[in-house]
Amino acid sequence: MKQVSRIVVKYLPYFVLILLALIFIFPIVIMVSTSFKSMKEAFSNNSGLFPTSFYIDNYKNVFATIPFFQYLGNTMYVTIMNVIGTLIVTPMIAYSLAKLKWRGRDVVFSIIVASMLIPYTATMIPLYKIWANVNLVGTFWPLIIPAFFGYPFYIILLRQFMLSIPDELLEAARIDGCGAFSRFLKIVIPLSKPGLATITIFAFMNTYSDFLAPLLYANSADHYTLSLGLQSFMNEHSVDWTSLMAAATLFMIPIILLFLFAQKYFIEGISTSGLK
Amino acid sequence: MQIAKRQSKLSRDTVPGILFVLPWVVGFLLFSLYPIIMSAYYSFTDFSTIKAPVWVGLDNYTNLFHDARFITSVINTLVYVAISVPATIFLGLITASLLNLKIKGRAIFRAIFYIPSILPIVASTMVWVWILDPIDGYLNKLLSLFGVGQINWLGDSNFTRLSLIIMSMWCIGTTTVIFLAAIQDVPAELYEAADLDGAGRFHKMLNITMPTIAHVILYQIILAIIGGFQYFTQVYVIITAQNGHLVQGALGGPNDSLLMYPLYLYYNAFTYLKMGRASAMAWILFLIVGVITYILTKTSKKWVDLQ
Repeated sequence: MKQVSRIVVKYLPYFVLILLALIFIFPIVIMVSTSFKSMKEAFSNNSGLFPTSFYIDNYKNVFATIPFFQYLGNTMYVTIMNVIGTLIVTPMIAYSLAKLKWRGRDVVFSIIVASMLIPYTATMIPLYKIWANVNLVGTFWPLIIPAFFGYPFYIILLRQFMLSIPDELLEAARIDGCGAFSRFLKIVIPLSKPGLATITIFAFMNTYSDFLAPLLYANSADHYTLSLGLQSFMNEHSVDWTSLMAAATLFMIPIILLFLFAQKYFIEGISTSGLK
Repeated sequence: MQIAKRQSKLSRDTVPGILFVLPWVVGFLLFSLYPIIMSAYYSFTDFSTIKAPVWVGLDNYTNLFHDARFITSVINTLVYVAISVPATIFLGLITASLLNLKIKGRAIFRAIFYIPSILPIVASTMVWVWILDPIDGYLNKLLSLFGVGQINWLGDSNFTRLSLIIMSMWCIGTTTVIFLAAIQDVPAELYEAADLDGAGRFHKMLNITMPTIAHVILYQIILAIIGGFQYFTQVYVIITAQNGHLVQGALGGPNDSLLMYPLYLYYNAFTYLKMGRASAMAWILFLIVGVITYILTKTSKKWVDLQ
């Protein structure tokens, strides 16, 4: 009896974890399997979990229904510009907050932390008005320009990474006559590579998946990002589920690949951001 | 001498220090502070992108409280936050504690829990709408094996909330990873005394791990609440899937049960073109989030510092 309970205690966590893992993976399995089913099979009463044969017409249909590559190109353009903007300004802001001593620095940092709590909806309308006033609604600029001023989340994350750079290194460089800017370029940047990789990944992921900002600003069909373009499969009378699942799969692939190749940075970045 | 040296060091870093944060300062003034102030002003006016603001005093606010759909959207959002936040935090703690055990394949399990939370919300919501389809959806197919009848998950206002909660629980990955990192950071010495007392695993979890990571839990609760009040994309996609275009009709799902606060704000601003009223909604939301965050951080001083 005692032995039985010991076995239960030992394997219960595995049992629960495997059950949870199956539940978590279920929607993704359904998505991919539906994307390889014919409409007839997907909507038949006794269709199983997996497709009976690999039916690739749904994928062909994606490219026939929406200008997939144009939407992907738009998405990538906005995403890469955001990554560039983030990589240009975030390191210098984070460096100033982590490694330069100046009066008011801590106040600025608290404001940056507090500003993360501002709901997007609270600033949405005046922002829309600003972009409308300068005639940029309907262009990609409202989705790109803010990145060149630094987002709080990435600043806080990178600052956290930079805090771990030993002050002695910077002090030694200072004694050798290095100014603030050359210490930044020669010491801080090379030592912050993992942090830079992490903010690159988050900037990529967040922009790639964003919905509300493109909905507000990229609202003409030739400016659609994938988030908006996918809506084309849903119309009043019916939803083309099999093609939609194929499109959703294609949409997710870059993010899953990014995760698989850079898992370490995802986990590290997320852990750092949560522990502060 | 020492002090003088330090002072000169201070001033030497001041100019580059301020120069380097300047982009953020300009961005903050342009894209956060100015909009927040303007939205306060707009909330007392009648205006749209094509109409200049006209001062109307408190009209937007009083109108809102006489607007049944506004009340509905407040209740929908409060109910969603009140259930989804504890549910996701609790599930996050459970998955993190399980992953913290000495188990094989931890990285794989962690990846499986984490991935859903990074997938584009638009795509994953579409997948859920398909899974929750009353006739051909796989959840009902699965439940029918256990003799459960057909449930109209997203079409019956009795089930729409439950569906949204299920969807939110699928996206706990980030929370799980943060909790796991926090649990792994708990110093081993803290457990040693409890080991001597022969405390069980559950006891240690409750009395040592939880108090030690309380500040991390609090931070995640605050983020989850803010996220909950901004819940938009999922309901937008669900209603689009049910009706085609939703914006012109300002639709809210069955019995308006999917009419979340941000969605109604969006309709007011971009469908009804009542941007003054939408700004009032934005400010009410801003105040609610601010007050909740303030109360949580203040009262938590008691329970977070218990450690």
